[in-house]
Amino acid sequence: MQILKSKAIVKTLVFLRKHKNANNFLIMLPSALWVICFLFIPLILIFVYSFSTRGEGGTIVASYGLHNYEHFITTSIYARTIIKSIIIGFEVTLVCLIVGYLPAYYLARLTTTRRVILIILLIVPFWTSVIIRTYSWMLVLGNRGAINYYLMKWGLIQEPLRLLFNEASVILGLVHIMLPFMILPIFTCIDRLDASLVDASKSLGAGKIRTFIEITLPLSLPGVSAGCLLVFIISVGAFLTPAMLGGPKDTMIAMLIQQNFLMLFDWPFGSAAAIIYLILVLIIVYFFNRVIGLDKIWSGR
Amino acid sequence: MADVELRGITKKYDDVTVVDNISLEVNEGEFLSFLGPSGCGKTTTLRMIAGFEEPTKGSVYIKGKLVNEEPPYMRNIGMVFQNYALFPHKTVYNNIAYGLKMRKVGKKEIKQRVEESLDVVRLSGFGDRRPDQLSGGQQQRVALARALVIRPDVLLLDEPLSNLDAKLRKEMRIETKRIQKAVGLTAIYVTHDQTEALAMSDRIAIIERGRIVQLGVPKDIYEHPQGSFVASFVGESNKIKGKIVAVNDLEAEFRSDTGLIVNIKTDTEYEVNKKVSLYARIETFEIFSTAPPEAKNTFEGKVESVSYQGGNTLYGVRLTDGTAIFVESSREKLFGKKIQPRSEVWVTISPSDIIVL
Repeated sequence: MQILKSKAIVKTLVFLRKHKNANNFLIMLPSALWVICFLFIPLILIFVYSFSTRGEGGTIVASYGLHNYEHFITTSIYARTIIKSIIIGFEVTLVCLIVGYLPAYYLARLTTTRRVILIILLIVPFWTSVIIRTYSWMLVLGNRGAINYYLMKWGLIQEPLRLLFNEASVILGLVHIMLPFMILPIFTCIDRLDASLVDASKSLGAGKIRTFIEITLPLSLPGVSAGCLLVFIISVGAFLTPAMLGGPKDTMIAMLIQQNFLMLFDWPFGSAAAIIYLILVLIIVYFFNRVIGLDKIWSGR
Repeated sequence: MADVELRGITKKYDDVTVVDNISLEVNEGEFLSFLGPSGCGKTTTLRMIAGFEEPTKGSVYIKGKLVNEEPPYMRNIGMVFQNYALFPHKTVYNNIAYGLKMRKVGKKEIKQRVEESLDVVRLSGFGDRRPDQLSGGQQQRVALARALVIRPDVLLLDEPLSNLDAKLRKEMRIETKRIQKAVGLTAIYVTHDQTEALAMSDRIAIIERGRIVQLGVPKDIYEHPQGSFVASFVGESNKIKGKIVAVNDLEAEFRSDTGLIVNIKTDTEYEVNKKVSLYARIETFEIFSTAPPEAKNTFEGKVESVSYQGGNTLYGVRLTDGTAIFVESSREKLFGKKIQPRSEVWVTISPSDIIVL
């Protein structure tokens, strides 16, 4: 048996040496298999389910039609949910951009040691789970949370402020989680900028602010664009944060899909919602790229 | 009046002295080079003139005005960077117009001056291109045009040709010099390439470890190097150590540590027994495959290596006393015999071609 095995290995090795393409294929095989099994096939299943019908007790009946999509589009609460998700996505992206650009710029101008320390500090929160990070906001913003406690202790307010379970707290929580995804691409982009471009601008008579506006800012746009795209896509599909920090009015699309799958056992409708969400995000990303796409940034007009 | 004057400028990073007490005057319309090996402080000196670095000590004057406290954008300088530093997101036109826009020049005048400078660097019609659509030589010329168009008090060039290939570098040497003379600008040029410095400069400042070790016209630097650093850095020389054994007016006899007798002729008087080093440039030798007519400084030896270089050939020769020298020749006296490794050869050098330090 052992001999047979080693013979097989030798044969494979000889085969691989003869067929370089086969070699490349084998290198890609594990990740390709992973993507096919855990992304591609499930997506196809979801797509197929979305046309089927919910049967007794949450079964899936093979009676196909567009009724799930019809139901989604004609029921205003679903349309509102998805629009709300997209609006929250935009808001989170915008806040992340405003809050994140300067730290990214500052980081890129630091010397190596200080920069490494700050980048580690930026990445460390990734080691704790999103649940814990989100829950910590409840301790800060809750009725008996830190802010209300001190405001009441100092006699500034009589009743606790309702800081939790609204859109603002959802955005706050999401910005907290998403900020590194904005800062890191912008930082990388500015860091890769040739320092002599800034020197050249100054030698030609531009001050610090003019140089930033004319040179650094436009050349950092690819990083801004990458950061915005990342933050937007992830936050539109956010599930935990809106579920924990949002109120009933702040239901987002991922929560809706989860409810249909796990609480209502309506897999066909949940699938349709997922497909609609996917298509909408793809459309937005497409237009986003056309507006702030790379081509535009490099053309310089 | 000097266009640029440096008075005792020194730059220290922590405890390391990069530029050490450099004083210099650059005259109007002059092309002056800082020549030295990498890390000698030549670029730092240039950056202090530009205002990117502040001198630890000393002062910088441009057109007679003390500019120590002025940031680069307040000094009227034009700078060409080693990697050109063209703005990748702006067209050639907008790159060149940049400095004029910052100076609030009117649109019409900007257009006229940009066109003019594109003309000077022979790139008319390239205004709409982006930098990445240009070749290296074209990018270099755009960088030059961008620096010139603002009519700076002084043009600073930081190894602007070092990213070009050998052939283009030679062309751009001539082109850069032509443009500088045509515009009549004072230029300070940083390079580690001695050929470039010799070919382009009105004067050269040789910099070693943050100090100017020799300042002079190219011919002087090459023919009368002061000190062993200049002698070995500029040109390729054979160095022979020994002492003077006999003196007769301006001619002297030298004996190397290995016993080689060399006749020298210099404009300084030497004392007998003075320890000196001889520097003999590789191209000042002549090489013969048969014994040449009797003359001073004829040495016999054996060829150890032959390296063909196109126009010239470089021979490694071991003289009978054991001294190894290199000889470059384009016109070896063959007399029918080919010079190969292990061939017997004779090399000669005129006493006045030998540098004594």
